[in-house]
Amino acid sequence: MESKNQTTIRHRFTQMNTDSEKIFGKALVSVHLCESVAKKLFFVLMLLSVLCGLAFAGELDYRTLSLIPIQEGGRFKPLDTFARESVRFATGREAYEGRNPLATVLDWAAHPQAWDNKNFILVENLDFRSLIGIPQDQKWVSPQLLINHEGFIAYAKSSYAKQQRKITLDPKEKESLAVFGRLQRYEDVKSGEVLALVPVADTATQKWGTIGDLNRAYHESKAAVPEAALGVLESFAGVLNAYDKGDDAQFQAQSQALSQILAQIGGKDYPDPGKMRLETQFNSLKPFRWAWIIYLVAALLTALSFVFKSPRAYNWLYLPGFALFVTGLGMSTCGFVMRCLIAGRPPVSNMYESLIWVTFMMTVFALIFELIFKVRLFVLAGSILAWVGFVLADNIPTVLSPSIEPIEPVLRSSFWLTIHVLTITSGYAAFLLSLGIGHVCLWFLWFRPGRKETLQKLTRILYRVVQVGVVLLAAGTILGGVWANYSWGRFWGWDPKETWALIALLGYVAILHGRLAGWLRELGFTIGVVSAFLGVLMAWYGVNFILGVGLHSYGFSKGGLPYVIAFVAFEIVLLTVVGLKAGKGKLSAVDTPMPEKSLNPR
Amino acid sequence: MNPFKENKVLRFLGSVKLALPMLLILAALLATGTIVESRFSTAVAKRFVYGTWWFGGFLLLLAVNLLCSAFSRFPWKKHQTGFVITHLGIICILAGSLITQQGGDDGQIALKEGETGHVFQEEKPTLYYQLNDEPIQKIPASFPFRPPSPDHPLMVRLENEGLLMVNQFYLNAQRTVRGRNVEKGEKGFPAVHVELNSSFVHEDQWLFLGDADNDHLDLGPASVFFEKESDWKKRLSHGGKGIPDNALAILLAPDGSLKYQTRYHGQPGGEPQALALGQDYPTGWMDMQFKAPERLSEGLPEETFESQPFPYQKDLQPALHFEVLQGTEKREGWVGYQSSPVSFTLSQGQAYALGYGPKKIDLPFALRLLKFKVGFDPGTEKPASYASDVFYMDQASGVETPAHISMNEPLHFMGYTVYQASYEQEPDGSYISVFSVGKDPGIWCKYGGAIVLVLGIIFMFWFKNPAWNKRETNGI
Repeated sequence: MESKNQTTIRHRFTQMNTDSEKIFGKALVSVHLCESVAKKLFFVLMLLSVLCGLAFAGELDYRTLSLIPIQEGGRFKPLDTFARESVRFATGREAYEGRNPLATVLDWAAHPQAWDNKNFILVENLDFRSLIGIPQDQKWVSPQLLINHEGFIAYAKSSYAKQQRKITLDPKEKESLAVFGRLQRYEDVKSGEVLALVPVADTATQKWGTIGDLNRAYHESKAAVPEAALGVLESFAGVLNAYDKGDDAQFQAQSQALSQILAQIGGKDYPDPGKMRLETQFNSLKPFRWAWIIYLVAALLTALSFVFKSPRAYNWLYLPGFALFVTGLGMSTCGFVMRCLIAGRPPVSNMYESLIWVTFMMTVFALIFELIFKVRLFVLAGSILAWVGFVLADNIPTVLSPSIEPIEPVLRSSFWLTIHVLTITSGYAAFLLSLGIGHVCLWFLWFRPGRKETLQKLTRILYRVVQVGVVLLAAGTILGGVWANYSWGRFWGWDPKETWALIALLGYVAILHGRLAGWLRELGFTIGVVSAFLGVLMAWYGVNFILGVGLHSYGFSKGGLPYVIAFVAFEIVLLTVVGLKAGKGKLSAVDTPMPEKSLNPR
Repeated sequence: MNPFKENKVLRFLGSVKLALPMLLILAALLATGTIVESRFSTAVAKRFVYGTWWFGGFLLLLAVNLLCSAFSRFPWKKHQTGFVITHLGIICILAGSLITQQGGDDGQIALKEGETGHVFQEEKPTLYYQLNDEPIQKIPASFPFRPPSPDHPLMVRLENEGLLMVNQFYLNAQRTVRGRNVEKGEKGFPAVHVELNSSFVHEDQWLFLGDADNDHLDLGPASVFFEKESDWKKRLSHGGKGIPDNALAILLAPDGSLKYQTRYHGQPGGEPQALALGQDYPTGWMDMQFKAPERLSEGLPEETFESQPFPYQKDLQPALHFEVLQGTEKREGWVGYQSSPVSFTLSQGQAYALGYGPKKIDLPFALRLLKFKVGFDPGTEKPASYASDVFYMDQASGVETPAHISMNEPLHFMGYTVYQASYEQEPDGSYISVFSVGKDPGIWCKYGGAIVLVLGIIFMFWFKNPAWNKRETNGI
């Protein structure tokens, strides 16, 4: 039954046009491999699976196996990371059905016929679900359905051709390519085609051998396969076999054997096991997830300390809240350092990395300001924002991909780049904090308009936060020019990313001038600061996700737009409401002596 | 006595009343520019926003505003240090940009391995013309202020008393090739006008038998050929090499009449049939029909250009219409940006040549590409780094010096900087290395201004404004 199955798959894929061969051609290879794999390696397993039924494997110890390095996506990563990324990529969640991702990946290889008919390939776009004829509430489809779906294949093919011709794709077309990619990943894992475990690098491409390659060689001529390679195949089959039986002792032994033989082949160039261990530790520790949990509790405790105003509330609510805030900061620092060590570079390459950096720097600024001003509000605003930031980073992997990927050539080994990006995003962080403090001011303006003294103090504090942001953003933008001159040969070229950084800066500079001229008092300044953050949002998110043009294309991506629009709409409504409400009783609230003297030339 | 303080106009020019609206207007202009760039292309945004006279004027006004505001506080007090140097820093950066714009060059040079080059191209549309064997002349032809029109042509008097006029300019044009009858002394090709229509495709093109550039039309899934009937039959009998599975052949029969033959999935759709002008025939591919509305027994391709709306995310394709007057004779035509040059001869053996393309600038030294190298991320086809080994030669002394140019490691020589910009791979696997070449005389002014500006901001924020005598650190 299986071989018939495979033939239909091949039949489907061979109907593809030649112009789409680059992406689809791989499918051909992998499907071809499916056959050889099915004939050789999985023949035994087929029998076994018939014997054992499709019973789930028992709880196995995956630690040894998870540490084995694999070459994928331009770097070496432990199998643990590979499995997490693959399962997350194909299904949209890391622990699919609550299982260890490595177990899921092994199961793909061990029970392909069961998975082929299982609905687990993620389809996100609702219109696309209708298009391929599944109910709109069905989030996953089976590989069989997709492979046999002529409409889907044709649609993906034409979308791919469009993409090649640089025509902008609509969301359904983008989704068709994404779904094809997910299907492809499953097929490649199943066939062993992406399992580049064998550290024998091709001299031209530096490409490691895959389990798929070994199977093919074995299938063609057993005698020509070197002994070490046979050993790899045997122990890999042994791992699958033991997995299938749920025999932990055997699984351990076979994982160990596989690990040893691969290390032996690799010799001195084999990736450092310590680094692999660090990465698996990072994967299971999930420091950024812990960080948002800690910040959530810190935010709640600090908020309560404002509700109960007694000194006891300070001791029993605020101080623990503050301690947790510092713990959260420590947790994210730890995550940061680990990530930098694993990637071997600072976090400057994509939206996910900039989001965690900005959130992290925001909490650093919050801590410093809190230590200077001692108003408790920085802990409150900082922990709420940090909670939001790390929750976003942790929960939408399809938009903000947490995978560690190699960096673009132009971004490599450049001191200026690192300084430029980190400075500019630290500026964003200060503005993010000013957004938080701005909302505190809005709260006072709305609910406690009588507390003029407090409002004046708050506005002065807000002014300080904005100043820090302005210094950093100005310096970062100019450093960007220095880097662009060094790397592209021009200081300034009105590229959208640099232009929007400038627009955001101009917005804040305008507010500072308005404040110094005495035109913006508490209400005006607060509204200004909160709305100027929309410029930062555009420079940070909008250029990469909405405009999508220019030289900073390495950060371009898609997704999340409805949420960002909802956020912007919410802020506009909030500012209007507070503006109208506070504006009514305004004249009494603004008779503050303003520092306009220094601006007046006389 | 400080005029910046006393004079009403200067005081307004240096006031926050002017500065604040200007900051906001500038922000709005820039935002519009980025949206234009996203909607259309970088070239359109440069042309209509960043590169315009009013945008430059606005920046100039900003500089005046900064200058007046800085000088209105003269003599400067100690606490104004930050304020003053910040504003002067911005003026410095703007001045540096002006110097760059006026005296700088920024172009590209592409070299194959083993090739030597000393001319780089800058994206500044330029009209080139040559009279007989005189040196080639150039005129800037991007027309940012007022494009030439029949009422206001651009006129150049030539050395032989002739007149060169540019009387039409399209910023973005679509090139079409039409057939025209040959004139005295010209040799032409048999030509046929073909139209193809289906619910998806509408093609309208002239084909010229024997003109390699214009003898067939490739629609992607199918092709149209115009050949002699005997040649076509010969090709088919030799296995039909180079003929796609779906094709339409318009055939010139020995008696001078036209025939056609279709081909579908590699199978001929019957014997060649007679083709009547202006009549629709099915091609056999989906619902596509074709017809040949007209033909010329001896014709030549003639380029014409039509104005087009701005392209979506693509470069602009300008074109201009010229007229050359010599005595009573007149010659007119179109020349497109980076399309082939036009040449013709008028009476008394006066030869003219016209071309339209990017500005070409001579480097004071020659660059020879020895070897181009790409490194990939292990196991992928993603380039991780690329670099060129070059020799650069001082043309005066003839001394060759080796150098290594890679991303972020440019070559500096004789005031120019050569950067590794990108690369292309030829079908045969060899590489073309693309360098960007630039000269930026304003860079030190910009760098100096930038350092001053940042120091100024830090200074300004660090030292508390004396008007703020209240302590800020009281708890809430």
